[in-house]
Amino acid sequence: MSQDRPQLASLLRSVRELLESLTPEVPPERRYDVRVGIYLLEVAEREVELATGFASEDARRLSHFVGEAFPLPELEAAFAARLRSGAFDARLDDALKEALALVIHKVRVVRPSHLEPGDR
Amino acid sequence: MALEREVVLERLTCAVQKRLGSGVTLDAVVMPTLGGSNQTVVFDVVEAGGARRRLVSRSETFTGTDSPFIPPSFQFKLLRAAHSRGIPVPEPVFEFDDADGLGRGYTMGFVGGETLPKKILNDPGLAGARERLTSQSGEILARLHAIPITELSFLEDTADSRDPLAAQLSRLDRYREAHPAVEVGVRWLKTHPLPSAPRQLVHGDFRTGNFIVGERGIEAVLDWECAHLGSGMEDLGWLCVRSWRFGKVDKPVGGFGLRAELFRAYAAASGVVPEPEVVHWWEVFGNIRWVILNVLQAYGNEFEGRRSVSYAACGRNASLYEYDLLMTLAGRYD
Repeated sequence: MSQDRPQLASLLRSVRELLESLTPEVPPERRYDVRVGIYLLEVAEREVELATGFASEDARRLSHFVGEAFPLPELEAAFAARLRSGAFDARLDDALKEALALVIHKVRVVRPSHLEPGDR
Repeated sequence: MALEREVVLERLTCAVQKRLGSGVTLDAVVMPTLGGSNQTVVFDVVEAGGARRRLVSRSETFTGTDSPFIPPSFQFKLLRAAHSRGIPVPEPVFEFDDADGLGRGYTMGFVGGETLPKKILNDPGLAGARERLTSQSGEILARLHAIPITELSFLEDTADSRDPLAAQLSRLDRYREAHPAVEVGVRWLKTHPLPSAPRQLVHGDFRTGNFIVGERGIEAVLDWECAHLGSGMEDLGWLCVRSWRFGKVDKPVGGFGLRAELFRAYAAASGVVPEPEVVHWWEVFGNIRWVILNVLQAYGNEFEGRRSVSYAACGRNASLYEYDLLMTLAGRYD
């Protein structure tokens, strides 16, 4: 399926901009929720932009580390299960680096400002 | 589920009159939060002669399988145990029963002051209070940890009292989402086992935002729903988890103090000198627990009908706390 303009990121941005413009009119006790809603739309906008590239990079790295050629969700599940079993105890520092690489990608979508400058 | 405001007000009035006298009325009612894991109502009880007393009611609204929170009746008993010893907590007044129709909950005395972390950590008017928070935290925790657990046997049979790490993992497994960062943290904990420790009351959620701060410092310790039996060092580690610094990352104790001062105050009040390595272990544990609590909220949002933008955000914010966890384990964060 191919869609006409606007693209998904632009749709999300439109709704976010609408919420931002409405914020002053929102009753004070609901403003926090509206701000959270705007935050979630910002997350979604970054995800549309970044997710595909991050997912293929994550799958490539993790496939190499775990030694399997699963799709990413199964790779993450296998990584988690093997960690739980203690299989990576002797290489826990290496496993930490792999887990951190995955987490940095998640945080670059969720809230890049939370990361140390070198990780953004 | 949260009840409608009018229904709550009517039932609360009946419940209060039943305990405090049929002549009392309710006034100045405020419902600050609706639909969190508790429904809170703040109100004045006005006697016929005009005397007023401000109270707070808390009713449980969390519904779902495998709640990590202890029932309100346990919280009420803990408030009694702490209050009778002069530990700063809201005064427990009475518990609701089934006939009240308000769910499981209780009322307690209102304590004025600030709970918003950003204000506690930044308000110029609280500068003097901030200087006292670290030593007060050490002293209060020491006094809580000294409550004889023989009085708290009702806490024995909770998952967190039996095995706190197993309790976390059992919850994570229920939410069916892979979290390799959490697993790295768990393996670090398991490969760095702690020596056995005396069994004590653990508050379980003592951190900036969960105590009321006035000009003199900590006025009351709130939020007892995570209390259990275990090592008191868990409370010290939890207070140092990075999220509770609210941006003041160079002040590891709640965003207001240094560990050495906390440990000194704790040692002075308890006679037990906290070992930094042990508290660090519990800080790592606390970070793992904080990730899993956020995964819980996302699970509730997705699968258990507790829909809210905040819970949706919790799910995504879990990754922020995973980052803090791994940076701490990597030695990049203090």
